[in-house]
Amino acid sequence: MASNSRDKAVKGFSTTIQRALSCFATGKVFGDTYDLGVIGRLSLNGAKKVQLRGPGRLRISLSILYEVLQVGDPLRPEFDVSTRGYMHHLYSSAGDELIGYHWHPIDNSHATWPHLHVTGGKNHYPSGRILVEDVLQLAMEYGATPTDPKAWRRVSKANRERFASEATWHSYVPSD
Amino acid sequence: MSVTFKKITPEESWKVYDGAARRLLRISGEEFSRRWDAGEYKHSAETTVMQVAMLRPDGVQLAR
Repeated sequence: MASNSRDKAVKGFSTTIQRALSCFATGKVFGDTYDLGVIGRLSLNGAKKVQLRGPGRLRISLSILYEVLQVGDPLRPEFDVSTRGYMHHLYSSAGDELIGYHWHPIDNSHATWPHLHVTGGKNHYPSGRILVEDVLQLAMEYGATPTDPKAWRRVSKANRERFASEATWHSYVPSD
Repeated sequence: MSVTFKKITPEESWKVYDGAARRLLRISGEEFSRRWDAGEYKHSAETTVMQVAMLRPDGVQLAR
């Protein structure tokens, strides 16, 4: 979410994620920088497994790379935050990995495109860009239950609409 | 249920990274950094390696 201050831009970026997670879990999203030109990290409880509400007793782990950007458009708020990568996992109640949604375009990485791993396997199945809302939607298939389904649908819709209007990319195009 | 935001310090960010390295790979964050910088994980397809790398507060560059 764009803002005229860097801290509010980061907090706004985090707020959309918090609202979605709050439908299923309790915890803290850690953010480690408001600075321009550096890569920051957001994580839910330090990327530890966090239990989701519901009979499936699923667990989730989330981490996101982000960057604070100076917009440079006098008609828009001065600062915005862009996602630079993510690692999202769902685990069974026994702790086994069900699915991992990854985008880790960092040096030494063997796969820089968005992809998914199934049940801890090593195959990289190409994916589109995945939102936290997508991971939570899948979690519901495995028995995660929002505290208030209507509120969840409202939050998911609002966050997806914001993503559709503000995201700078939706489909991965590799650099040269 | 509620998920709140907390701005963490560089020291706390390192603790998150170090904790993930110890939890997922049974090594310290410092040792992970050494191995990563030496290229020892260059051909690794272990998801746990990337989970830790993505939490490293310094030294990891985006492949732009």
